[in-house]
Amino acid sequence: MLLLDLLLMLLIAYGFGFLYYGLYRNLSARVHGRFGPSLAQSFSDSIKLFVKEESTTFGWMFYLGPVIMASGAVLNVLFIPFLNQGESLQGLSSYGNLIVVLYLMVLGPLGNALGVGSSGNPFGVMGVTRGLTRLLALELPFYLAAIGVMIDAGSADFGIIMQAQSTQSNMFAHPLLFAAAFISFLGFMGKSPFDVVGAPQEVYSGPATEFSGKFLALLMSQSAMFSFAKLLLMVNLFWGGADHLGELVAKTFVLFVAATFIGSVYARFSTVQSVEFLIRIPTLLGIVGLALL
Amino acid sequence: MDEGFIPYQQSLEDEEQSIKSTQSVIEQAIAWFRAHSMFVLAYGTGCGAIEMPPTFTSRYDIERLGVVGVATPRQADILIVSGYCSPKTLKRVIRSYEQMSEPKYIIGLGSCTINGGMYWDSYNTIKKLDDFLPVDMYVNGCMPRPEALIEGFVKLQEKIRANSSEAGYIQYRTRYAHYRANQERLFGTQVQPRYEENFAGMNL
Amino acid sequence: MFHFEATLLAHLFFGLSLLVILPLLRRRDLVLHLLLLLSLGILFYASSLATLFIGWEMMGWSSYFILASSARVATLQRYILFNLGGAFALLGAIALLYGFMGSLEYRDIDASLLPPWAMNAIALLLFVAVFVKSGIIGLHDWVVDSYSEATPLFSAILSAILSKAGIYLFIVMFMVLLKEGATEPLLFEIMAWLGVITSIVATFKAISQDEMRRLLAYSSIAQIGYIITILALMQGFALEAALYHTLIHTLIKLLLFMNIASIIAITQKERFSELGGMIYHAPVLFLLLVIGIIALAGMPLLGGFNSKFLIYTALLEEKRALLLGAVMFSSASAFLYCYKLVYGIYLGQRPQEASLHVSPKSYYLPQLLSAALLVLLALLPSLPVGYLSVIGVELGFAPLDDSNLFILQSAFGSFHGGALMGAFGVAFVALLGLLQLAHSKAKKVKDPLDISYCGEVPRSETNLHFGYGMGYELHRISFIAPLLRHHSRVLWDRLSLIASDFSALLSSLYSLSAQHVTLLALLLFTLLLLGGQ
Ligand code: SF4
Repeated sequence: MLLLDLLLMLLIAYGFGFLYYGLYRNLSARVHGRFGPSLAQSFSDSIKLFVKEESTTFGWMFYLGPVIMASGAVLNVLFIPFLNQGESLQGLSSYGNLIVVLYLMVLGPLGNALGVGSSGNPFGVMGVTRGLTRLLALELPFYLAAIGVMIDAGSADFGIIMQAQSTQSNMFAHPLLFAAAFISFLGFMGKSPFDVVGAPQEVYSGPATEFSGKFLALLMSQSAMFSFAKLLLMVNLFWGGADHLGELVAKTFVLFVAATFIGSVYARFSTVQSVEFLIRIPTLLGIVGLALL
Repeated sequence: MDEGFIPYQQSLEDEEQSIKSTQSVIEQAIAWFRAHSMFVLAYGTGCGAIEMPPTFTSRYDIERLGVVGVATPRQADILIVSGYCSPKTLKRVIRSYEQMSEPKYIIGLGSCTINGGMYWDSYNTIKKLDDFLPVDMYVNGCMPRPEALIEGFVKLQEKIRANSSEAGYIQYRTRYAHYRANQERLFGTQVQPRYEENFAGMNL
Repeated sequence: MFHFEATLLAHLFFGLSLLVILPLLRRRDLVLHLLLLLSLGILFYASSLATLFIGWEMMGWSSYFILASSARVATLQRYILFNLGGAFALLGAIALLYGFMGSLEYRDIDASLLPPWAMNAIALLLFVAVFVKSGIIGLHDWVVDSYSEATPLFSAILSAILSKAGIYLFIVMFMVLLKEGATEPLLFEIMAWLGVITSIVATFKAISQDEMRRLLAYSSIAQIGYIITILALMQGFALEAALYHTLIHTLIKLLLFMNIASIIAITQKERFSELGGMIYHAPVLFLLLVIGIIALAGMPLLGGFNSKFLIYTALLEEKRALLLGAVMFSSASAFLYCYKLVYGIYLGQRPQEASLHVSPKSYYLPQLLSAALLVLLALLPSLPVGYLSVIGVELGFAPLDDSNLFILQSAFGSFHGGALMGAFGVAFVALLGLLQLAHSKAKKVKDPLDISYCGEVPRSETNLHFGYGMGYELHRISFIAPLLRHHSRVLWDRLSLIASDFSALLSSLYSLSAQHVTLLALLLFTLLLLGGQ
C-alpha cells in the first residue's frame, strides 16, 4: 500500500513536473510574442536523450553524479506530503521533517557537483562555483522564513505546520516571511534573474557542459520532479497545503505561473549581484518578519 | 555524371522517398522523438550566421518545431555550419562535430558550404564542406533566409524519421579514412586527435 | 553543594582521545604523545581545580614540544603565547574561586555563595581560557598556523581532540561546578553570538584558503563556534546537541586530516593549486573524503546531520530565531569549502604528471573507522543519545528519549535514519538500473583531456585546474570582502609593537648615563614632595 502510494507520488511529480516545464516554455514564448513549442516538448526532449545512440562518460564518478542528483530529487518528493490530511499521498513525510527536507534539497546538487568535477571540464566547475556562491545567499532568506514558520507552528513536522494554518495561511499571517521565501524560491527554481549558474554565453552550459544523452535525460527528468517538490514545499509552508489533488494542482499552478511571469521579464543578475541582492532585500524582509513573530 | 548542388540535393531527397518504412514500431517511435526534438549547435562560421538569430527568436520562432539551441556539442544533435570555413575554423568545427553524440546531423547553411560560394577562389577558405565532414542537408542561398533554414529543418526531420543508413554520422564512421585523409591534406601536421582514438573507449 | 565527579563526561572525552591518539602513535615523539594522552587523562578525570590546571598546562606544554619538531619559530611563539594567556586566565579564575571557597576540591565548591561580581569575573576569565583554546575569531591565529605547520598526523590530533579541551572546560565549569552561580545572562548571550560570528567568519576564511590544512583549520574553528553557541544556551538538550556535535566533529576531523595526511604522503603537495585529479589514482581515499565532507556539510545520510539537527531544534526550542538563522547561514556556506576540498584534491584535471608515492597503509585505519562510525550513526542516529542523556541526567538535566535507535527525537520533530538511508538506497539502485538499461550506450572517453572546450584541443600543459581558485568571487561581494580583509593579526602585530616600544622604553632606563639618572631621581623627588603637600 505504502509502496503504491510512493509510486503514485513519483508519477504525479514526474507528470506535473514535465507539464509545468512545457507550460513554462509555452508561457515564456507568449511573453516574448512567440507561439512556442508543444506542451509535451520537454518530455519528448528527455525521451529523445534517453534513446540517443551514445552518451559520453568520463568514469564512474561522472556516471554516478546524475544518479545521486536524481535520487536526491526522488527523496525530496517522497519526504514532502502532497496533502494536508488523510492517509494517502503522505509518502515518507512522517519519517522526516522540514529540516531534513531543507538539507535533502542540497544533497543532490552536491552529489552531481562531484560528477561535474570529475569530468575535468573547467566550465563545469565554474558553474558549480557560481551555484554554490549564489547558494550562500539564496538559502538564507528561505531558512529565515522556514524558521519563522517552524517557531510559529511549534514543530518542524509538515503535518503540524499545515494544521497550524487551518484558520489563516502563513502567507497572510506572516507576509514578510512569505515575501522573503518567495524571492528565494525564484532562485531555487533557477529562473531569471537568478539563473547565472548555467549561463551559456559565459560558461558554456555550466554544470551541464559535459552531460550528454541519457545523463542529460536523467538530469532533465529529475529537474522536472525537483521543481514540483519545490512548489509543494512552498504550498505546504505558506498556503496551508492542499485538501485534495485538485486543490494541490490549482495551488502549485498559481505559484508556478507567478514564478514564470516574473522569470520571463527580468534580466540576469551576475553572481555577485544576486548574492548582494539576496542578502539585502529578502534577508532584511526575513529578519523583520522574524522580529514581528 | 551530373555535378553541382541541385542534382545532389535531388539525390538526397530521392533516397529518402525510396526508404519506405521497414522499421518496427519502436524504431518508428524513437525516430519520431528524434525528429521532433532537435538540439542545435549553431556554429556561426561565416556571415550567414546573421540569419540564425531571427530564426530562433520571435519573428520565425523555430522552437515550434522542437528546435532549441544548446551551447555545448555534447548535448547537440544538429550542427549548423553557417557559411565559409577557414582551416582554422574548420578544425574547431570538426572537433565540435566529433564531440557530439550519435545520432548527429550537419546542416550546411549557405552557398559557401556547398561549393565555396562567393569565396570560391579564396586562398584561405575551404570549397566544399562535404569533403571534410558529412553534410546531411544543404540550405543554399547567399545568405539563405530564415524560411529557407526552416525548410531545411523540415526536410531534415523527414530524413531523420526515415532513419537511413546513409545518414552522415554513419558515413563518417564507416568512411572515416576518406574524411581523415582530406583533413590531413588540409591541416598538414597540425591535425586534430583521431576520432576513433577518442571514442575507442569501452562501455561502462 | 556538589558531590559530583562527572565521570561519564570524562569517559566520553577520554574515550574520544584514545580513539584519536592511539592509532596515530608512532615511534617519532612517542613519549611526548603518551605525555599528551596522560595530560588529557589528568584534565578530564581531575577532581580538584589544581589537578585540572595541571592537566591543562601539561597538555599545552607537551603539544608545544611535539609541534616544535616541525613548526616555524614564529608559529611556536604564537602557540605558546596564546596558550599561556589562556592558562593565566584559567589560573586567575581558579585563584578567585579559591579566595572565596578556601578549597580547590570540586566537592567544596558552592557557586551560590559567590557574590555576583566575583562570579562574573570568574566567568569572564574562564571565557578567555575557553575562547583561546577554541580559537574564537580574533584569537584564532595560533590555531590556523599550528594546524598547518604540525606534522600531518599531529594536526589530526590537534583538530580532532585538543580543540575540544575548551569545550570540556566550559561544561565542567559552567554546567557542573558553577551551575548555581549568579552569572549575568548577558555574558552567555554575548558568548552565543561570538560563537556564531566566529563560525561565519571562519567559514568564509576557509573558503578562501589555498592550503588544505588551513582550510580544515578554519573549518574546525567554525564547527567549534557552533558548539560554543549551543552551549551558551545552558540547557539539557543543548548540552546533548553540543556533545553529539563534539563526537561527530571528532570523527570527521580525524577522517579528513588523515585523508589529507595520506594525500600529502602520496604527492608531497599541500596546496589545491598543485593538486587535482587524484580520483582515479586513489579512489578509496576519494570515497572516504566524500563521506567526510558530506558529514561535515551536515547532509542527511551521514552522521553529520544528526548533530546539526539537534543543534537546530535546540535553538528552535529556545525560540532563538536569529541565532538559528545565522547558524544555518554559516552551515550552508560550508558547502562551498566542502566542495573546494574534494574538488581541489581529487577532481578536475591532474596538473603536470608528477611522481606519486604510496600512502602508508596504517593511515587508512582511522579513516575507515570514522567513516564506518559515521555511516552507523546515520543509520542509528539515537545510538549515542542514551549515553549522552545519562550524562545530562548526571548534570541535573531531564533525560532524553532514545526508545527507538532509528529515530532521533527532539521537541521539534524527529526523523528516521533507517527510512532515509533505505529510501535513498532504493532510489539510487533503481535509477542506476534505469540508466544501465537505457537505449543509449555510455562511451568512456579515452583521453581525459577530451573535454568540450569550445572546439579547442587542450594539451597536457594547458592549465585546466583553475577551479581550485573557487571562492575568489567572495572578495568582490561587499558584505564578505571586509571579513576576509581585516586580519586579526594586524591587531596583534600592533599590540606587539606597542609592547616592544614600551619595553624598549623600560630598558632604556637601565642604560642611562649617571647624570640622567640623577636628573630623573631629582625630578621624581620633587614630584613626590609636591604630591605630599
Ligand atoms: S553563403 Fe554567402 S552569406 Fe553565407 S557565408 Fe558564404 S558569403 Fe556569407
